[in-house]
Amino acid sequence: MLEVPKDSLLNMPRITLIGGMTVNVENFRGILEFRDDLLRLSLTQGELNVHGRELVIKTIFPTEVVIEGNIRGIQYID
Amino acid sequence: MLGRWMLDFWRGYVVVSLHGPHVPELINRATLQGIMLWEIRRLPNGACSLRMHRDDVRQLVTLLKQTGTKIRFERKHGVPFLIWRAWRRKFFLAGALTFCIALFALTSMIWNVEVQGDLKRLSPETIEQAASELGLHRGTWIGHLPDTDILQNQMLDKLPELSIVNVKIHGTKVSIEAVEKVALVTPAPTEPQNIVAKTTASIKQIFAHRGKPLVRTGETVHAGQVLISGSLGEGKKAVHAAGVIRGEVWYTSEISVPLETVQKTYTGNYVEKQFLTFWDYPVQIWGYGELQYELHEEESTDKELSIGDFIFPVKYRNNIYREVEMKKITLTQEQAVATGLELARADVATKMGKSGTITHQKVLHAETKGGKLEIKILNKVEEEIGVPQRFDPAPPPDPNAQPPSGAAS
Repeated sequence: MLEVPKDSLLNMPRITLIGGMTVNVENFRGILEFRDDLLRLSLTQGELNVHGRELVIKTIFPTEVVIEGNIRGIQYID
Repeated sequence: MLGRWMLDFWRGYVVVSLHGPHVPELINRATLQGIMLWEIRRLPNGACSLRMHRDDVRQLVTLLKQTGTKIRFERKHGVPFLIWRAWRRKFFLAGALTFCIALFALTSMIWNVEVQGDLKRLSPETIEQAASELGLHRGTWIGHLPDTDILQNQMLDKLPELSIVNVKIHGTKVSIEAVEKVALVTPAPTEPQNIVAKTTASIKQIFAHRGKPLVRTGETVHAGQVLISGSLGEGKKAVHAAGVIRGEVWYTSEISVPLETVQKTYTGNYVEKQFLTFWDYPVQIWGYGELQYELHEEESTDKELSIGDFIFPVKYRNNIYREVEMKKITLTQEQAVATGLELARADVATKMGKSGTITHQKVLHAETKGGKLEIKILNKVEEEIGVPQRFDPAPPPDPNAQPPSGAAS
């Protein structure tokens, strides 16, 4: 079978965490809830909760979002 | 990152705060419509602060209505806002610009020309005049002047009496340092000459510096008579005769003095009027009122305002009207004679040389004729009477010359 990255094939979300400061989420569907300490993002399947303090959306595009702050945890809900 | 910020700054962006229950929904929709949002953060009061481009605000308005969100503009950044603010203060900016242009214009022209140096033969005014012909005068644009070494060479060409010219431009001031050439010593003239009398005179003093004096004190000489001869040893040697010979010369003056004269005198009263003239059309600005004087003289002084070669067409004119009185004066015989002597002195002064002095004046004849005193005056003047006259000396006998006969062998 051909080894093709799954994210590029199936519109799968791809989450990149840089240190404890920046989260880069690709292939997301929108913001569900935005608080100082919690950010809920909707994905193609399920949702993603980012916990932290002083969360800031650095930039937001239709399918990509960059979040900065003191990140405490990422919770993936199917 | 900096490039991105500069781009945003150029387009102009706003910091807004959004209030409402559906802010995340609003952000999702705006993003889908292509509105760029960045720096989204929650404020402690529950509002949401974000940044967006100025020209995207219009698109956001419909979304705000649909989601029931209220917007507040917090800050405005970027070039479009700066321009808008500047436009509100356009007169202030115009003033600032005028100031800058005036400062630039006034500092880029010459205001002062200063001549320095120990000058003995040339006056500083001559050098200033020459410099002015080359363009170094008040009001010249410094940028239009050639290099200082070119100017220096041009100055030297104009004034050959100078050996060094140093032209320096300090800001709006030009300093010209000039050094004169050392004068050459002119050799004493050697061509043969006599000193002869220029007019009939009686000799008073004689000082021969070189040559042989042919006359004595007290002797009467005629015009053209040789006084000091440059020919020595019966024509064997010719020299450049020189000397001072003073003699008494008689001048007669015939003068007629009118006994009755009308003299113009100022009474001391005057009136001043001030005008501004626009292209030669005068408009009075001060000193109204009719002139009360029977006779008056008008004295007019104009003041012009000029920048460089440009003269403003508006001039300030000050007119002074002085009252004049005509007085009739009748001279007595004595006064008329005194006037006649005075006139004779002035008449003789134009005829005699610079070194002359009037030693004696005598009235020869005086007669009143038709309201005038006809008077003849003899003036005795002591003056320098010698003038140089060149002569061709007889060629001295050639010691090597062969005897004219029987020399050829």
